[in-house]
Amino acid sequence: MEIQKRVEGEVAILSLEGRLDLSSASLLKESSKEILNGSSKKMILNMTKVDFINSSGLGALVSVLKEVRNNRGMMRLTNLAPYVKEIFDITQLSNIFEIYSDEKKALANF
Amino acid sequence: MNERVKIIFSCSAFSLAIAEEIFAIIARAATSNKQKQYHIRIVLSELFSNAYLHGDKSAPDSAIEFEACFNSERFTAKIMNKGKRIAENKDKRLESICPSAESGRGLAIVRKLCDSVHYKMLDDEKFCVIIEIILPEVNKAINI
Repeated sequence: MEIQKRVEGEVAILSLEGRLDLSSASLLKESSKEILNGSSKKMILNMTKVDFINSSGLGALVSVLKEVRNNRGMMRLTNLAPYVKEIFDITQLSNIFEIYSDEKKALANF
Repeated sequence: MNERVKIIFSCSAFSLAIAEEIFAIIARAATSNKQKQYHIRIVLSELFSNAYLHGDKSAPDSAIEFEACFNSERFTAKIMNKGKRIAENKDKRLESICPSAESGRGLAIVRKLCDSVHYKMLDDEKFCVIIEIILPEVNKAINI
């Protein structure tokens, strides 16, 4: 997995690319920790290029969400592919994550 | 016509990485339906991760055995390894898993996406999971 970081105002945007699974879960956790240790407490994870996610990847996202909330921050997910969104729906994680169709909408509501 | 694949992986992180690539290829060969391809990939990934995480890595002959068989109607797979008989106990329903839990969803996802799931303890102390996914009617294997 590759993670590109950029900042828009006070929001850090992480664009994920590749598989989010057991082997890439720690990279996501480390990247989000770096963001939270900096000045930004608001985070968007753009998942346009995530072509596969399994329960380890979902667990990593839950872990990041907890860390963000512990730091009094906010986190949003955008651009989930239909098959990825289906896994969020069947695991009922759609109810705990704020999911937006694109970055613009996610940024507008922060 | 049935297509069969049988692979023996060592119980290692490297195997985990290459298995994911192999599962993607098998899923594409089994069905042209993108949603079912994704379901097959996730199910195999969850079962393999489970075997890797709970397998007995210290045993010198430690291995994860994988078999898949598919035709135009159904996809079946079998994953065997030596390790703790942990999978059944962890097979909870998704509804019973705390939303903020960081683990425990894998086998519940498998249960949700498969048409049947069976666990077996084999005579030689191997633990075996067998799954079946019914494929859509319009299902033509494609070139990989």
